[in-house]
Amino acid sequence: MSNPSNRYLHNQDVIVFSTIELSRNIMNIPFPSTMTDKHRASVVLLVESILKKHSPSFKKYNPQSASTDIITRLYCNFALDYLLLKPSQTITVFYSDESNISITLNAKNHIHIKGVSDGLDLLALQKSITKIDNFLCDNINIAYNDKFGHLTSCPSNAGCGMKISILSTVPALAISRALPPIIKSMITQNIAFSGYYTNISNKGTFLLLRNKTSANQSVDDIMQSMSTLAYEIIIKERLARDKLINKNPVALQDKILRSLGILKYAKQSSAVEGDTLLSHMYLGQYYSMFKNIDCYAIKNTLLKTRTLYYSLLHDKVPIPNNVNELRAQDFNEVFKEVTLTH
Amino acid sequence: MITCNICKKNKATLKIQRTINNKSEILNICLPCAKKLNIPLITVSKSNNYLSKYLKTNSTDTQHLVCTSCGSTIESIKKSNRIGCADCYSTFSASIKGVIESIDNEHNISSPAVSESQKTKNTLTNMLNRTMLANDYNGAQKILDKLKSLEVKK
Repeated sequence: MSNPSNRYLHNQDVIVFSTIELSRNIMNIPFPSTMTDKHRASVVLLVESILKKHSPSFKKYNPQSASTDIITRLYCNFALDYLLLKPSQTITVFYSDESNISITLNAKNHIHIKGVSDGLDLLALQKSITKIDNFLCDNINIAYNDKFGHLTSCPSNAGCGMKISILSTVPALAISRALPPIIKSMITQNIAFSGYYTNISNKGTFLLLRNKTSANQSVDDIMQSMSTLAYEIIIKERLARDKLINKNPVALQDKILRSLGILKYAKQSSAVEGDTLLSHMYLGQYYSMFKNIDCYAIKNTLLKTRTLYYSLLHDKVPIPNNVNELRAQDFNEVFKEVTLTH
Repeated sequence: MITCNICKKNKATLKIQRTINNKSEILNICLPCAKKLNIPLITVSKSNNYLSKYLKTNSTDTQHLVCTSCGSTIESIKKSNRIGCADCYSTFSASIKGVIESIDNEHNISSPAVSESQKTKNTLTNMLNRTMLANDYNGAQKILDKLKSLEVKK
């Protein structure tokens, strides 16, 4: 096993991806909860005309007439919620492949700008998003007042209207059973820990952090508190990885290689098992154990093997019966070419 | 109602899996018992229905108010958990301000102020970025500790 010296761009070995979201509404048009189809169309028309003028690289997505390929791209590259992408939805999405930024119209708010970066690169992401936000705000009469800041459909999101989400993978902390006390010590009231981490069974190895509110907080405050938290997780996870490898390298190697074996050949795999196996692949990557796979491919596999995502792709509500088989097939396909470095 | 396996009295709200000698069992337990057993309780929240939770509908001042732009009332906002339009912020200003104050109290958030401490925090965050790039975890941990102490002072 190689020495874990291989560090990844933007800490991708621990941070799977991070997103920044901004919520904006337009003055004199009812918010989406009370708007009519006519209002909806006027929002789309207005934003589309501005984008054409200022940022022609944005393409339009309409859920009613989208191909599976585009749905997959929006879901994986732009981290859009799969429920939003369902054909029954009345939203419109503009997306730019150049910047991994999407603008969703008429979901909870009129305008929802979302940027995603692999790993942790919040400053660059904020810069790109602010650029889009500035030209939209310059050309649209945005709902804003001095008392509340940006006016959003939920007041918790008013003020600067910014939400940051960070998905991290923490297999070494999970193996060391060190995660619950660390989260307990780090937890602040404004951060939601959720999603992929299953706290009850102690089996979870992915942790999603998100600020719950933006009201009464500045952009700097949110950026700073979220990046500090992310760095804390990165440091603790890497220290745990170094400790594990020093303590019992054979046991660790065995665990990682067994996981690879299951991913390559299993016929069925549950969501919880899949998450654990994939987090072990991140660990293997960190120790430079594998060839023909990278963090980006593991991230995409993680996203594409969500149970609800299968229901969207296969148009089955709520979940296809053979979801565990479908998941195993996808794992087999992604990991079939993976070999060991020595 | 599933009763707590520990106290046998309260309603069980948590399902815990525990493994002893390779034997797993599922326990249904209530929140007070989980706390007594020191089981780490981590906030798992998908969405916060702040408006349903904090919007007060019993005030006579706001009870009969209707937003002239979208027709929303306090009741309809509370029910849908969404504000109807930008003008609702003016119509129900006091109530919405109350909701934000309740959220701030819940999350212990103070008003933002670009102060000396904010400048120090920005400097420390930049230092943290550089230290992380250099893979100096011990150095990064020290900076994190300083940042945390500033948070406590705030």
